[in-house]
Amino acid sequence: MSAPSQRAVILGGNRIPFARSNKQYAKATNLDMLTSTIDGLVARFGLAGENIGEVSGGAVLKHSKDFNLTREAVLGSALSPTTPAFDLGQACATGLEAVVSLNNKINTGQIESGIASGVDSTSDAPIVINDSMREILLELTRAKTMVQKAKIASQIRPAYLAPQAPSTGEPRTGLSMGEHQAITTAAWGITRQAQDELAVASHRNLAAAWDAGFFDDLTTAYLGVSRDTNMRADSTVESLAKLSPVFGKKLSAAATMTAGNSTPLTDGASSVLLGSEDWAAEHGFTPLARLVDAEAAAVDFVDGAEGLLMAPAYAVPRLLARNGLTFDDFDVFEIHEAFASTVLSHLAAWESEEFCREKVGLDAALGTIDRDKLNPLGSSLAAGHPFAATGGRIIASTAKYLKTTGKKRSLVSICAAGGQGLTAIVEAA
Amino acid sequence: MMADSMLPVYARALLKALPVGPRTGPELPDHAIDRSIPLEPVAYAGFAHVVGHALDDIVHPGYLHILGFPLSMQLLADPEVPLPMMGMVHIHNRVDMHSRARLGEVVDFHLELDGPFEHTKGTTIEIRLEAKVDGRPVMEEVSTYLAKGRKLSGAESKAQVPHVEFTAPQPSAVWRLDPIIGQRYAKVSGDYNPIHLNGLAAKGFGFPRQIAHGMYSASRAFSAMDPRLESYRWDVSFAKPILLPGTVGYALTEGRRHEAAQSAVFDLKTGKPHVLSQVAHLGR
Amino acid sequence: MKDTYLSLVNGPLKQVAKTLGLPQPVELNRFGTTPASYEKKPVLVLGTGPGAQGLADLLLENGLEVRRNAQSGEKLRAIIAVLDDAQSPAELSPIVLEIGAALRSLTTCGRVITISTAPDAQNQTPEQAAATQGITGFTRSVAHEMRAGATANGILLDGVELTAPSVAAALWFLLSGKSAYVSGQFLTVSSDAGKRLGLDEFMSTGDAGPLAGRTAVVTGAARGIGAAIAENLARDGAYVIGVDMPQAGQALAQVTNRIGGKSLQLDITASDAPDKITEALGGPVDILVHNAGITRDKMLANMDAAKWDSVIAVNIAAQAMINSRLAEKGLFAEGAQVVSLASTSGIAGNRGQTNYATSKAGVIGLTAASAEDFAARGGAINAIAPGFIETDMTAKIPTLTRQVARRLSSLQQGGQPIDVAEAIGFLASSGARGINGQTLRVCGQNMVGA
Repeated sequence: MSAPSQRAVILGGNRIPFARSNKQYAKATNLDMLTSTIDGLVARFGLAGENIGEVSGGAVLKHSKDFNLTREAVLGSALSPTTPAFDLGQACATGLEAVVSLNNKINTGQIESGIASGVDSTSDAPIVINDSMREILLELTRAKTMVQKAKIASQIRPAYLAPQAPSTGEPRTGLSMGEHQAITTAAWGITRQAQDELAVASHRNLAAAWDAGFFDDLTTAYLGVSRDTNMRADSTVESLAKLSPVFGKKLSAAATMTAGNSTPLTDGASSVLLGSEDWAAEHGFTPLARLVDAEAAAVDFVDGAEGLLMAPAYAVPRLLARNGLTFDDFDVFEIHEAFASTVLSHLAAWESEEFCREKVGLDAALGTIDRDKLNPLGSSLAAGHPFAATGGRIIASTAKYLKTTGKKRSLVSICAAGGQGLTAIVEAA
Repeated sequence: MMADSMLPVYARALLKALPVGPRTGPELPDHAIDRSIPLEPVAYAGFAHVVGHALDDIVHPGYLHILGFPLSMQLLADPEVPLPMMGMVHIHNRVDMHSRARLGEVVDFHLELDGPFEHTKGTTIEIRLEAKVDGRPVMEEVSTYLAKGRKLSGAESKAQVPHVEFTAPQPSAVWRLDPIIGQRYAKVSGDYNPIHLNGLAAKGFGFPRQIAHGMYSASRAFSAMDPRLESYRWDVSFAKPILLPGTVGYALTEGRRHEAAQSAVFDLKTGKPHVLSQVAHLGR
Repeated sequence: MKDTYLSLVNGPLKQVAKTLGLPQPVELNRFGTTPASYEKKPVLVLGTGPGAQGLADLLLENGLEVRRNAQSGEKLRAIIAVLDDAQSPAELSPIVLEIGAALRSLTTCGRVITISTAPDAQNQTPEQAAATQGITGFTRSVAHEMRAGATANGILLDGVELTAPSVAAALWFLLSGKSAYVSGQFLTVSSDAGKRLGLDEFMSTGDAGPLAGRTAVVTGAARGIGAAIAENLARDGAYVIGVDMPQAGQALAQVTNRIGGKSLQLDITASDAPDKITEALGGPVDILVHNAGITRDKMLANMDAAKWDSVIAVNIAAQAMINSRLAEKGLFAEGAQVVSLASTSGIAGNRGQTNYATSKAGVIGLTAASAEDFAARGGAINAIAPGFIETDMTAKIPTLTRQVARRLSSLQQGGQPIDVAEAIGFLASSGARGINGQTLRVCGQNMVGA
């Protein structure tokens, strides 16, 4: 099936269990979590002291001191210190883009092996000083004489000292992702019931996978946490129905998005091991799957022309067309649950002839996804969503899922801030 | 990096507010101010960042406005102006942008007063600003200031900007404005009017809290509309002032980003407008 | 766990302890901490038969200084008594007195090793059996009389000659610091299986080490004794796959990364555990160390099913299941060696540990009964019964009890995880394949402890 140039295979992965913000990992830095995650992967594959072709990674919420986050993690890990690394970012698609970029580098023969990673802490998040204060401090560093310094320092006002907490708001709109999605949710008429049902399925599927030991060789316990702490195996549509809406309360449509059908802020890290077929064979590693193709899309959400998180709805039709595939050709659909309604909006868009004709330029609706094939291992609603770590979680899980179930093809879709989306096709090796 | 310090101007304005001295007729003094000001990147960058505009070498029209602002205040503070400067409200601003002003260029400003004009709520004075670079027309601006409740006999009659019914749209963006925005804009614009800096001062002028600079909100809305036109008319009407701290909504009400369009900055709770802007092609 | 008393009496309080007649444990010579001067000291080989001369020659070949008669004023590192030809208890007198006379010449951490025929009631005359059995009593008693870190152990020949490869391996083990905390014990060599290892190879590390080129699976490798085992096997040249519960993954990764091995997170009680182990190995099992174990202490009157069942499941049922599954599927390599962790609690019993002692006694039984099967593949299965070992587990014992427990051993101290690990490295080595179905106590001749 694969072209001769398709040399890269997905060999496995490792992540730390995801923890809700400000809980067990409250004091763990991005560097701490990423290093431990890479170390877990190294241990699983016996790569201590090995030189890996390249390690890619990133974090969405990143301290300026972490400008070389991934390389620093490599240096702190059991990998050979001569392993190069680079940081990259595509908001919530960072983890998947880290996989795609290494996959492509292996396919071109540039490298033989790679570790794609991602991490995010919403607990140990960077706090930024007020812009006025920052300007004054920068001016102070430029001042030469004490008199100049004193003059500049005298401009400091008490109000300047208040730090600015990081915001999940879109820089150009100031709206939180939830508020943006609430507009989309209302536009597509996604019901509260449908969202809660999706959330329950996510928790149920994730819990079942944990109970079956599915994640035993995909995770490594960290700081005493051995399962995703956001997971609630016992959540039901009834229990979720009791929660009050948190987003979209100012819209004319009824607010439907609650803490139960939205992902919580989460801390965590993930990694994926990739290699050329030859490299895998030399090391005695069994390929799980291969990433066949990927497609990114972006929408203009700034003035509300399209929903912030709708880009995957555009990327997937293009990805399928390029590969000559339809939904029927897929056994698994891994659609990142930023919010339950995000997934449901995408499904609705693909089922909508109007959307597919007018916005995507297809002749007809793209199709319907069999819900039994959707997120069979649970997704971000249950596992949580440490932004840059989600891509690695999904790729490693779905690769193993294909291998262990004998299924053939998985569609991966991740929406991201800035109106972006990254999608990929993963096939059993 | 202001060409002229504002402090003496405010001092004169305060003096003028005192009920002493000669009061002449409705005529405005026949003064004009001419000044050449270079467009310096460091000072401009501070402005661009505060109003959320990308920093490139094409200067935001709001910046040309603030370069002219101290000069316009000097004109208004002239004792021969028959209206008190303190308490005047900027109600409308119209900019005709004929060509782009770029960093590194030296802008020749010419400012003069026009009016007084009759207004249903008092009397208005207009400040007319012309900006040229090497003789090339760059910008013409008319800033309309209202002296509320003041009626001057002999003021010219003039058609007012018609009042438009406004229905708040779904906000496409939300601005969370901290009080410090008053200080930040003051720092980059040189407009240290105390009603933007200090709650007590604002109370003195009848506002419950300090208020955002009108041209801050207008310039930020302009940044969001981000018109990419060679020449255009930028028309701004100031409705209710924005109290700080405050959270306001923003949305395009017509047209699209980068093109001719209209936008509104409005109160999220009441739906009442703060700043209504229009960018239109010039001379069509 | 640090033994503060041990440090004090070997440091500032040395004189005080001596004056007061307090126990004076010494820092034991271990692998890597044995001074070169110790290794240069001669070994006294006693015994009149050809076996004794053969043994002396073996020692000489391996570069040891050998004496056949004690010389006054010279310190000895070991006294080896070759008693393989003892026909009756009456014959023992001259040689044991010779041992006794030489004891004062034994240096700190010295060794007494008796080599004798294993007692065999079926095939020996009553006189012979009295002699062979008698020697075990003698050796155990000598061990109790040892001072200053010295030990006494025996090698029993069960149908083999002194020339059996495992006799040599046992000798190297007992002579070296690797057996620092083994005293009053016997190693029974019952076949000629195994590779003949020289002392140098036995004491080498890495690619030259006795386990070079072999792959070892260690369960419960994340912490404590398991981590020490993994590290020690790697030191001796093995490629190690550390196994532990997913919950211990972070600690496991640290261990395996440190030794350049591989982590395998799984629940060893799961039915697919054997498959996952061979999958991770990419082939049949060569060395397997059943170390994973748990305690759920409760007096029997208060014991519930959960506490009983979980201990049995992890400590013995899982070992049995993994062994039999691997055997059935032919997934033990030729010459495969298994070493299981039993416990002195499984030998002597322990209050509050009916479940634990049952499981650990079960390990001893399982090991003995599996020997034949392993021998058929040219390999072996043995068990180690640790006594009081300084670990997180023993650190939970109340302070006073812990202090008493330490001093009760013949060595007047607790053992270290490395002591258990050394015994396992020895029993996993190709030289030890002639030792099979045995349980070796690593307890400093103490019966207390988990």
